Amino acid sequence: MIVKILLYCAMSILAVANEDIITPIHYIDDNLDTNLLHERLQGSHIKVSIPSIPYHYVSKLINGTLLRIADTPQGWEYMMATGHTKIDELTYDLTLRQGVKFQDGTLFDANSVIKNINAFLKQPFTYTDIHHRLKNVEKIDAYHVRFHLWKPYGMFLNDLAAINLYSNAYLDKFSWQGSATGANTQEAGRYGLGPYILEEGYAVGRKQTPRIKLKANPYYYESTKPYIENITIYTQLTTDEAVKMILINEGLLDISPIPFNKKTEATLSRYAKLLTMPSKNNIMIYFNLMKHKGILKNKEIRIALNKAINQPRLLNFIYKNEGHLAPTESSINYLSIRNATEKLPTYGENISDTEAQYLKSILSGLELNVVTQDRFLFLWKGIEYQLNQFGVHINYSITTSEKDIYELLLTNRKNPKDWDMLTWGNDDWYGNHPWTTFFAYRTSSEWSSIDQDNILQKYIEEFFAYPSDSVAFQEIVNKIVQRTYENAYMLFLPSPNLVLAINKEVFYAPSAVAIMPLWEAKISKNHWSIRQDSYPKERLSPMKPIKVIK
Amino acid sequence: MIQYLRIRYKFFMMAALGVIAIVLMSLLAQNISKDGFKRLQDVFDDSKKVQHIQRDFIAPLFNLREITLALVTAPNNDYRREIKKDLIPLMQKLDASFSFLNDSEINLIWQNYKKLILLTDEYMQLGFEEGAFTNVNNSERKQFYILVSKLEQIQEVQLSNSSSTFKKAENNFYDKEQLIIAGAILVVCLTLIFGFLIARNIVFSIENVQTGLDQFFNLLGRKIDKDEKISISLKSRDEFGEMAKKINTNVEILRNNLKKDLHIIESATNVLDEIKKGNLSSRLKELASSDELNRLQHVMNEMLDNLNERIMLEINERTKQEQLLIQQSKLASMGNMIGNIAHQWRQPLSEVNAILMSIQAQKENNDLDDETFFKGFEECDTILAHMSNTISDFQNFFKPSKSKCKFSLQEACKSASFIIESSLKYNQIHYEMNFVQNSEVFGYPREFSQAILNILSNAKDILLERKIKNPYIKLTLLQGEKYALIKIQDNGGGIQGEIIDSIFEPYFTTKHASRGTGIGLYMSKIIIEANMQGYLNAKNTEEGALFIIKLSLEKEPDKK
Ligand SMILES: Nc1ncnc2c1ncn2[C@@H]1O[C@H](COP(=O)(O)OP(=O)(O)OP(=O)(O)O)[C@@H](O)[C@H]1O
Ligand SMILES: [Mg+2]
Repeated sequence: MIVKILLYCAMSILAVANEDIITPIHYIDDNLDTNLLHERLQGSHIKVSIPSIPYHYVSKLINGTLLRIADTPQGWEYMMATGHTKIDELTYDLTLRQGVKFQDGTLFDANSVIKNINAFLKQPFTYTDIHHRLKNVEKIDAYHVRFHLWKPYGMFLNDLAAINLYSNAYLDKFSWQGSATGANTQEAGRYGLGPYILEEGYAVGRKQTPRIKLKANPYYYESTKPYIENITIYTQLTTDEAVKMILINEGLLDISPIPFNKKTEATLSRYAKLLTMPSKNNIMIYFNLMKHKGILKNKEIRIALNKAINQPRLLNFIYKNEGHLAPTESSINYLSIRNATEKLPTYGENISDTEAQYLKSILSGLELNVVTQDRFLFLWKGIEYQLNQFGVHINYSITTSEKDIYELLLTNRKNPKDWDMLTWGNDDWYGNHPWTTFFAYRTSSEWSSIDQDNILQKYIEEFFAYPSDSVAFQEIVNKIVQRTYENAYMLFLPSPNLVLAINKEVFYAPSAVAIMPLWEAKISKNHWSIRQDSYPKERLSPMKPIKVIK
Repeated sequence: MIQYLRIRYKFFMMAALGVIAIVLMSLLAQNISKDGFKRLQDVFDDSKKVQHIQRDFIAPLFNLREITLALVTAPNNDYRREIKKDLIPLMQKLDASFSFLNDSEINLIWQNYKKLILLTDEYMQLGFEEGAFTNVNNSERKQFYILVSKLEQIQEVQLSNSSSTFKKAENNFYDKEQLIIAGAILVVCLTLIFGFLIARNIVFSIENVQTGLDQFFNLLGRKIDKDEKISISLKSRDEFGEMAKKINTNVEILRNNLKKDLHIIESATNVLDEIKKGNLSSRLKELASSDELNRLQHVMNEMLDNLNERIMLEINERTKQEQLLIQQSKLASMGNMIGNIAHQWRQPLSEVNAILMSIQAQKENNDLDDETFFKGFEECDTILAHMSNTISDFQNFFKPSKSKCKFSLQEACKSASFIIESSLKYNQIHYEMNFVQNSEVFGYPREFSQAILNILSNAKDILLERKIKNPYIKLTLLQGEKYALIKIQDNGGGIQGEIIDSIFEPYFTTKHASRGTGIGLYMSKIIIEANMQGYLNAKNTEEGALFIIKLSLEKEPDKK
């Protein structure tokens, strides 16, 4: 009897033609563990697209620093130093890592540090205040050094994470070449302490090659790392190129940021997976207050433009929810910024009809020249749509390369340019520290497009003095945020998440600060660079996205 | 038999036939629609089943689909929670509907569709929005359309059921329809036959009366000889029969009266003919049958008497006036003539005077020899002969022409000028004549010259009256193909605007009674227009008046 019923059931199921029952798409898990390679194989190779501050990211891969920026509360971890003592407000002792060799095989010790710091002091970088505050360094013994400051400097340790330590050979040839942008190795060669050797191409602040090749450093102090022998870095891919190379093809690109609206494509890709993660990236849209007769000198217009931006809508339709509302340009994923902006509404929230009418009356007919990298164009289309509602017209200048952006930004102060708004993808290069964005408000620096604001300037001088875990620090951050918010010095947008496409056979955990820990990345035995056979068919199915929630 | 019925009964019969036909037809129709109603009920029941699929399955499924789509596109979780409130009850309702449908295949598809929706929801809850989005637009969508198309297949079957029921009803209707048609034809035929018989009878009577009346009216219009016999031969005993009889007697009376009146009209026409010929004494004598005609005759005779008398009076009056006019004109001409002669004579008179004075002086000095005296006397004689010639010239000028003849316009103008020339010279009026060529016309030369003279004298009068400086008169003769034109232009400042239309009227003058009669232009117009079929017009130019005479060059203008 039971058998009969079962049979009937089976028959009735069979009776329904297979094509009438639709099975959902099967998503495979990101279960690389069993296949991951934990040692460096010859020929292993990944290709990475770095459209924002490539000189910074490359520098972090090829150079050693005493401290390394990291996603820690203080924003750094020890690297070439293994410990430090703050003797007083003006004196710091650091212990150095022993038994470490430069990429050319020469020894690293206190002498190397002294030589580097002395060279640095001759031509320091200017994007922090170290050039006004560091006095000198002295050797205590072979692995101990002592730093002396002119005045207290809360950002001292963070700054150490930006001072590259070069081999003697490099210093003899190039010395230390600080500038407004981050410093980096000038030519390919075995000059650094980082996990990778710069083998071909270069990226220094205002100049870069479209392609940069790195090779694993055999002398790297973490002896098992890096796990991948070769890295190719692209600095100027267009968004479309990058998306095609990573989502549709295999072996052309392994890691790349993608626009938010490509998330579904990335999920369904045969070769790539999607990774999203809150970031401390800041989309900076400068207002040019330097421009001769520039309309944005007018505070009312700047505020009106910000009010014309409806952030919740932007977040939903353009960001595809990959981000968070942010009252200023600084990412609210900085703890201090989150605290400072807690009570501030975003400008465009709850605009009444009458207010909208008023905004229209002052914005209508405005024509603004916008400079942007091609990768932000999708975002600009959303902004443009909203501004259009208020009668604002936008003229674009578009580039694929960040160096063009720098050219227009960093010469603007000396020689004001014609742009009204300029977009810069400002990743958290300073390591979990709001200086990453505040440095654009220091009107004494090339990075600022504000003509004058003495109050803000004073706040920033004060800001330098406090360590980031102090109460005074939070207070001064509050003041700066309040000041920049009230003056609407930039076009404020939601804080974006990091949205990456990564080859399915690559294991890579991105950092929340602007460093790419590729020396910790691994590939599986199915990766295109080392695989012998064809790609296993089951791996072509879409993969569940990786959503990192911090 | 019908012949002996009154018309009202005939109409009543026709109406009764109609009513019977309608009653029969409606009975038939009622029977058919009762049947049709039952069939329609069946069709309605079937379509209700179709609607049931639509209402209980397809529409809610689309609703469900819409909700899941909204779930995926909702901007945040608050919206999503709101949307989900509708989702579960709707699925439960559909679950119930599907189990009621009792179709295992469709039920299986529905269960799977439900699973796919729940998967979308699950993905959304996990934050796997891309998965939810893909699922909704891919698997879930496909499953949805398969499910809907299965339901539509069922609907299709039910629809075809209902349409076959409808077809049956339709066929049934056509069967009955034929019955109706047959019945209708029968009833209509019967009605037609009876109706035709009755109607023919009525129409026959009407036609009879009509022909009788036609003949009668033709008689009135004299299309029929009045002696021809007119009568309506209708023997039926209805209202038409009676009417025919009455018409017949009246026609007879009318015909006799008509004959009499015709006669008097004829004699009236004769009288009028006589009057046309000019015999105003002819009158109507006969008496007519009707009073009106008699009164007419009387009025006519009286009118004729009256007319006769009036015409005689008018003729007398006219003759008198015309004579007066001619007399006046003659007087005027005479006055003018004397003036002109005076001027013509002034010169020779003073010559005679001079000769006589010199003779007298020589005589007083005793210096006069015979030779000188006779020479002087001879000179005076010649001068006086010349003066006498002038008088006869003037006389000739005013004599009427004997008859129409061909004459030279140039000559006629010259002779008019001759009369007035010395007077013009005396008054220092510049006078100029231009003849392009000599033109000859047919008419009265003397009268024509007089007309020209009238115009010239008027110009002279005006020039003097208004004391114009450098006064002039220009006469120009032009000739075209058919016409000759004479223009007489002066610089006297023109005719006053308000009188320009009246100058050709008799007795119209702006001059003092002693100096003008107002006949000059009137006579000129009569001479040129009435006697010579030409035209005389006046208009003002910048300097003065311009008189234009236009004359036909044809030999014999027209013989009226
Ligand atoms: N060349 C002219 N310029 C201005 N007015 C004129 C001229 N010719 C005629 N008239 C006007 O027309 C009027 C009528 O002229 P018409 O010759 O009929 O009469 P009359 O000259 O007044 O009198 P008569 O009968 O003595 O000629 C004149 O009184 C004069 O006012
Ligand atoms: Mg006159």
